[in-house]
This record gives sequence, C-alpha cells and structure tokens, in this order.
Amino acid sequence: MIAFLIVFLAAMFLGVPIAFAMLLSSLFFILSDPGTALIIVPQQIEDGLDSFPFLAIPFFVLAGNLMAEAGVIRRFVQLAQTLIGHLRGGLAHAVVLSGALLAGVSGSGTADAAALGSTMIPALEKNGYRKDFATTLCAFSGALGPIIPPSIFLIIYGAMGNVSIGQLFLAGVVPGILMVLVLMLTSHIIIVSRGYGHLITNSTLREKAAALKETALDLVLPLGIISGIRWGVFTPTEAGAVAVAYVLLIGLFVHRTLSVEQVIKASRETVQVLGAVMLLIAMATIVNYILALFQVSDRLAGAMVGLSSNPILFLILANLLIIFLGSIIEDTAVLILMTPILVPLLGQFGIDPVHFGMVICLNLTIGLVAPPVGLAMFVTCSIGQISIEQFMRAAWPFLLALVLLLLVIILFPSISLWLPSHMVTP
Amino acid sequence: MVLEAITMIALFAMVASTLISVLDRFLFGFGLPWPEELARFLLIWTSLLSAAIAAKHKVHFRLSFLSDRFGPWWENLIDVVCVAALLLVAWKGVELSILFNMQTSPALNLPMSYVYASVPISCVLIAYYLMRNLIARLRSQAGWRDR
Repeated sequence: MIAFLIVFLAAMFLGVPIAFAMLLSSLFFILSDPGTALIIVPQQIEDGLDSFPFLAIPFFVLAGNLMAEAGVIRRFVQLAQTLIGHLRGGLAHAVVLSGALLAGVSGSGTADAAALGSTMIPALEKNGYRKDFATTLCAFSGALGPIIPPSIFLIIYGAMGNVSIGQLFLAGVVPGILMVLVLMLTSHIIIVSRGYGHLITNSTLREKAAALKETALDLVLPLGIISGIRWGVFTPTEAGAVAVAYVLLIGLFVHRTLSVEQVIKASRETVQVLGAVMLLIAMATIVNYILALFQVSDRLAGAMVGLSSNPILFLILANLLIIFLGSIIEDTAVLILMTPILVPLLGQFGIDPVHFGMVICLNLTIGLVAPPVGLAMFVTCSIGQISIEQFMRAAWPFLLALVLLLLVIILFPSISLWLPSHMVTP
Repeated sequence: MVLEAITMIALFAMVASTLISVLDRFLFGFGLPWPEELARFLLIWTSLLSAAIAAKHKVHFRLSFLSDRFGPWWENLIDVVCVAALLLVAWKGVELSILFNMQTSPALNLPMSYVYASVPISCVLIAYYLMRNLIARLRSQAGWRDR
C-alpha cells in the first residue's frame, strides 16, 4: 500500500503525465501482488468509462465550445451592458454578468475565462481600466463557469461519488448568484478606489428590449437546462445532448453565425479536452479499485472520527487538503482522485454529499484562478499579456472575497441545499 | 486526421443517440433500450481514442517543474516506460476481449469484445503517438548537437 503510493507520487512528481503515473503505480502493485491478475486493468478501464452520467462531459464541453464559436459572448456582453451599463463601472459589471450568462451554458471555467478575456480585456482597456484589473476580472468572471450549472466539476463529482448530478446542478444556482454579487461588490470597491469607470453608457428602454430580443434564443438555454432538471423533464446528460442540438440549430439556421468549419473546430477542441479528462478517469478507476482492496476510505474514516466527529472541522480539514493538492496538481485531477476517497466519509459526519460537492467545487474553482497551477489564470494572463506576479497583485481582493464566500458556503449548508430540496425527481 | 474524424463523428453520434432516447420518451414512448447503450459504448470508444489524440498533442496533465531540470534524456525515459506499460495493458486487453467473445450486450446484441477491443487498440495508438513524439524529439536533439 505504502509502496503503491510512493510509486504513484514519485512518478507524478518526476514528470510522468498524471494518468500514466496512476497506470504505472497500479501495474507495479498488481505485478508485485500475487492475488491480483493484470486483466483487471483493462476491465477497470472499461468499467470506469461505461457510465451514462459521464456522457454529460463531452456534451457540455461541446455545447460551450459551439456557443463560443457562434459569437454568443458578444451578444451577452451587449445585453449586460444595456442592462447595467448606467452604473458606475458598468462595463466591468457587464463582464461579470456576461460571465454568469456564459456559465449557464458552458461547463468549464477555463474556456469561459479564455473566451471572456479575448473579447473583453481589449474593450476594458479602451475604457480606461488598467490591464491587470481587466485580466483578473475576466479570469474571475470565467471562474463562475464551474459553479453556475452546468458544470464539468459537478458532473465528475456526482458520477464518481454516486451523488445526483441534477441535485448538484440545482445546488449551484444560489452560490453562483452569490458569487456574482461578491465579484461585483469587489470590483466596485476597486473601481471606486482606483477612480475607474466614469465612462457610463445609458441605454433607452427600447435598446434594452432590442438587446433582450437578440439574446432571447441564447437565454432559453441556461433557463431551459435549470428548469428542465428542476421539474424532472430530463437528466443532466440528456440536457447536455439537447443543449448541443439547440446550439447547432440556432447557430446554423437561425442566427447563421456558425459555419461548418467552426463546428469542426469546436468538436476538435472538445475531443482534446475529452481525451485528457477521460483517460484520467479511466486510470483513476484502477487506482480506486486498488485503494478499495486496502479499504482506504474506511480506515481514513476511522482515523478521522477518532480525531473528532465535528463536521465543520472535517470540512475545514478536507478543504485544506484540497487546497494543498490543488496547488500542485491540476484541479480536475484532484477532483477525480479525491471524490471516491472523501465522499464515503461524509455519512460519518452527517454532511450532505450535495453540500460537500458545492464546497469542493468552489474550492477547486478558486484554484483555477490562483497560482501556482490555475489554468484559467494562465490562459487569461497569456491573453492579457501580463505576468503571474502582476496578476497576483491585482487578484488578491477577488481571491480574498471568494475565500470568504467559501467559508460562508461551508458554514451554511442551506445556501446549497435549499433549491435541490425542491427538485422533482424524474 | 482519420482518428480525429472518427472521434468527431462518434461525438455527434453520441449526441444523436441520446436525443433519440429523449424524443422516444416524450413523443413515441417505445422505451427503446438501445440508444442509451449505444451512447455509453460510443463514449468508451471516443474517450480512449481521444486520449490518443491528446497524447499526440501532448495535452495530458503533468507536473513538469522537477523533470524540466533533469534534461531531455529523462523525458525520453518516461516515454519509453509509458510505452512499455501501455503495450502490457494492450496485451491484457486483447485477452479480455477474447474472454468476452461469446458474451453479447443486453440491448444491441453486440459482442462485448467489440467494446472491449477499445482498450488494446487505443493503448497501441497512444503508445504509437508517444513513440512518434519521442522520435521527433530525438531527431531534433541530434540535429541540435550537429550544429
């Protein structure tokens, strides 16, 4: 057991891709253990991937990529600006609001941040915002992606931890709205203290109506996904397939902003993401099989309960562990590794797995926009052409605000659990 | 290229087959069992083939902060070890496929070996792309030394 973990950690730190590090350590264990046959390796790979809930991953990644290609961001920004452009720093708030709308379609924070960054960093700069603020704002608005449903993080957590993905999606709504408010409040404070955002755009009621009309077909999607799941019309996986079909129909035939080449480009990007994530899931299934042989979760639970049975303490310890792992390993990999280990412990502490999913997801989302391995941070920094140090200096107020929000979400489970408790199960 | 085309087509086939099951439930009510099964089998195949594409484009997540200091020979060694491991899994995957040759899937009546063949085929493809990248790297390293 210890040898297995040492081989895995050593391989990972010495630069073996994480999926292959899992494979190598599993092979090492099985070859050295006479009781296990190698044939379980391909068997577990098949077993891990053979899952209906996981189908939602390619669906929502594809739907998000297609939406981005179809130019939805420009329309969302337009709408957000006519709605709240009259406020001080209206453009900055419009970026947050567009991030929220985008998050309602896409499941990935990094893709959202990249899409927002490439459109909005130049626009913000033109309006007198400094580059570092513009870049961090886009990164954090993109980070709404994994919180506001649909969310790839929540799909992986739900499928690996046997938690209802529909309930998890609904759980994300209220924390998502809170996160929007927290980001707006934080940027308002920065805007006032730095003297930004005097340029405001007033728009008439007619312009507002026109912008709403233009985005009406796009807005159907996030609302449709949430209400369809809320009233049990379809499962999250089916919602994903419907979303892809809807985006294709609208983009190809109604708005005509999508070309066949763009569809191919979007699916090519989807395939690459899918390959990296699904191989990780497949290999993690083998690792989990081995961990189950050693009853790791049971032992861990015993050790934890021996320490204390306080759920808040457990949540805080679990969060520190996730932050630690998230600061060295890519966030999706942390989620795939830790979900099967942590979720079985929740019963001992009386923690609702849906609440825990929300906490873990928000924690990892913060990791997306924080050094050293935050993917959304890297992407926006390279778009905005600022260094990680500059990003950090501009990002700390946002980071602080999100950590406070995480604490609130940890301490008050009802924020996450209120909406899912009203779900109709299909 | 062919591989990318196959995975993209499979991607849309998954969408279509899931849509069929939704439409079936709301409009026709046949309760067809096969679309879900087909979508799941396609997911297995697409995921593993996409993993080969991801290997080609080197987008599998890894930590490079230590290995960057060891120099290129270390990366070459990693690739060789991974290729060996993948070929071992491929061999076992063939065994598994043969083992399930007689079993068929409940809804589609498809031999399960068709599904299980995804592991050996993809492992060989991933190994192929790792080797190709390795050879390209060795060539450029040799060329760099010549200069």
